[in-house]
Amino acid sequence: MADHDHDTHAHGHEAALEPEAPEAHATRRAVLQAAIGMGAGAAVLSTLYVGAGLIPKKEITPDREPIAQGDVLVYSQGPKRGQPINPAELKPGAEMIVAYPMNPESQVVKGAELKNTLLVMKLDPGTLDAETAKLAAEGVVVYSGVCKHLGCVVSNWVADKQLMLCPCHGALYDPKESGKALIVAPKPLGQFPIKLENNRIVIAGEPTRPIGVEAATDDGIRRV
Amino acid sequence: MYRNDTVVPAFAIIFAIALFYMAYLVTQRVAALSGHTPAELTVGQIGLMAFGAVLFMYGFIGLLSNWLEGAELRPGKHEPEASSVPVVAGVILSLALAAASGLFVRTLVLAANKEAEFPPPTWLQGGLFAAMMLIIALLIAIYKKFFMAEEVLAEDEKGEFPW
Amino acid sequence: MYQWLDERLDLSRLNTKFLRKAFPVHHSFFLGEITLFAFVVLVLTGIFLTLNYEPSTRPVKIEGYNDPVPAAYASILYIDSLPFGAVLRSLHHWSAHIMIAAAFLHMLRIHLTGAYKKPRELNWLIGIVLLVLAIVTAFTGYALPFDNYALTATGIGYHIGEAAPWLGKAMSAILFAGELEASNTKTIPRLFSIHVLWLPLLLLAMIGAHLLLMVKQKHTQPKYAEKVAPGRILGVPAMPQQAVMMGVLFLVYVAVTTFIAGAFLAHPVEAFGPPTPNTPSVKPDWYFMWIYGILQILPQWDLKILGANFGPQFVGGILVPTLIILGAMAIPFLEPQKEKQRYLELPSQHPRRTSFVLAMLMFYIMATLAGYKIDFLNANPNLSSGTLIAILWVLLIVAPILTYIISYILMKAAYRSREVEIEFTGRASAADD
Repeated sequence: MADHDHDTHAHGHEAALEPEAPEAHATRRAVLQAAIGMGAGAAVLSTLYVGAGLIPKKEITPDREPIAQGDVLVYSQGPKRGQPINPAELKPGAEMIVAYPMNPESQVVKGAELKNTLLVMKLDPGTLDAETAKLAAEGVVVYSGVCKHLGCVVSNWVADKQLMLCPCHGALYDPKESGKALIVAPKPLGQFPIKLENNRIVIAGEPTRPIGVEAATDDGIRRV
Repeated sequence: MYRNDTVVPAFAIIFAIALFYMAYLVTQRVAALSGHTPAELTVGQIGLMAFGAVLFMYGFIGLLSNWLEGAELRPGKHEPEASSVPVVAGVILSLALAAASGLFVRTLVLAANKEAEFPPPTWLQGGLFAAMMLIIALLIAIYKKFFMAEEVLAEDEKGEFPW
Repeated sequence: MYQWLDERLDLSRLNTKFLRKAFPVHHSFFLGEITLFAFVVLVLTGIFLTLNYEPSTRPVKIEGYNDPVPAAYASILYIDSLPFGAVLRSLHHWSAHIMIAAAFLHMLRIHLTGAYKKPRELNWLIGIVLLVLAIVTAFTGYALPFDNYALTATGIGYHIGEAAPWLGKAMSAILFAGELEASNTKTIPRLFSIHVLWLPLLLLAMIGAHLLLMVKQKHTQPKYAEKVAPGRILGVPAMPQQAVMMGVLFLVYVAVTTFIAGAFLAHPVEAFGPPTPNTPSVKPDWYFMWIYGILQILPQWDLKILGANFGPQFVGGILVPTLIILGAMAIPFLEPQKEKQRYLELPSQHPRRTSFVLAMLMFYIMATLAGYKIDFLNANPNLSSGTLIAILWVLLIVAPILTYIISYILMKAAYRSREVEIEFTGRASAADD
């Protein structure tokens, strides 16, 4: 403090001040720095909350409601899009149809929600195991279409092996054994109990597994 | 303009207040003509207030610059004088800042809740954020004034930078 | 940490070479910084807006409206419904106005203190381009909310652009992707790209050049520095002192503008409503008002030369502004000097220039006043339109001339008394602040 000329001080303080111990100055500086740091930190954190506005609120519209008992299965694509699937038209083991559920009262197709995608196929009833057959009706089985691995739609049908294939990472599921996962996927696909009414496929209850991606556990699944 | 004076910034602040008052008077005039207070600002008001805002900021930082950096620079290193008053002021301001930050988040949470009984008005959201920013500015100013050494250079006119 | 980086990046060399550059200290230098921070805040709030805005006019059904509204309009309502969203959008709007106002005042300061003279002519030109670019950028953002008011206001600018001889139609068609009307679905994506991408990039490049030249050519220092350190740059180091002052100013900027933005929500789209066949009573923004004012009082004649129309839209909307911009660009070249300009000139010592600046200001104010012609007529039904136009013309011409004469005489008188004082005391007093 003492060794510069007060007359030329930028602040123009002329009064001689008490000489001060450097430690006291350092302590004061540290206290003020800590206070400013704390306050500014709180301000920055609270400002970051503005970013929370970027998370859109999910709106539940009728076409996004979850699959419910009584829903009728309709085609999700192709010329018959939105029309109920007639089980009598399905050929055993020939194809797999990607379907959406339809609310039978409001006639609203619940296709806006990816998790509502369903897989429909007709198989030879003799090839189904007991568990699968219990939920099937005249060989028609219905599975959730969302892959257990990373959530793609399991849209491909391997006709010669009668397996469901997810094109993203090659996950294979066996529709004859409760949607058992063969490779890649950690868990089997959920199977829906169904019944056939007036040439329509109707959901008859809850799926065997929760819908969507599930974390892997050591339950003996082979992974590639 | 000869040195870093306080006259021009002080006049700028007075002028800014006058412009804001003019903008207010325009509202009164519009209300008198149309019989109601319109929801939006007129272009005239926006112009007056924009110039008012610039002049206010200019005057504010000008006065602050005079306080922090002095009216005239002298080459050399100038240590700040020590005092415990700025520490007390700084701690109080920091606590106020933390409180304002908490309140700010609270208003945002309330504003995001569409069912809230009293959604916070935008002037409160903006005002709290403005208060936070102003307090940080004041804290930095206090720190600079009382804890940062002032260094003044007399640099050669032909510097190395940028070429 | 510092040492680790220093060994790899040679930070200490950066420090001595660049970060210790001396910044002269004067309050008038902050006007340019305010303009810069307005741009920074525009970019930051603009990022938030683009994350939520939908540049489309496809009709969407939303709550509270019987008919479908344009998606752009709906997304603005959505932004306003977000926490702090309305304040950020208002802040974007206010910052645009403040950037233009601050750039204008910054330019006035440069003019008044002679800081445009050699070697800074180039930076003066870049500065004028920046001001024009800022105004054009603001204009391209007008229509984006796609409410009734915005569309009508943009339409006025569209028709002025169209009035440019020969090229006007093509240029307007490029800028607006065809005719500007509510049914044109291509306009909004075109304006959106120009407003959020190309013009900001151009602004950024020009601002970079502006700052680089400023660093190279140094500030015009306040005059006292000539006595303290003649021939040298007297200033504080860029790091930390100048940076601290800039940080404080940035925070003050955000504080003041956020307060205004929250208290006065600019452009409430909900009040204006989506586009309808009804024309709302619009006024151009204040930075166009003087052009609009000149348009209001120009006679309605039309001149045809080589297949191009030279109507009042051309004269008032294009010719007069272009002449004023060219005139402003010519300023540094009208007073060539051999010596480099190193110090701020005192406005009081240049009465002719100072009076000219005041006269130009008066011209803008009077032209702006003419923009309120219709309001004057509505308020005074007895006044005939012809009389009012005559009065406004007299004001537009006479008021600036009177301003010049009065301020020149006053300054000469005040300055002569000061010269006498200097003779007596042998030194300039502090009164020249």
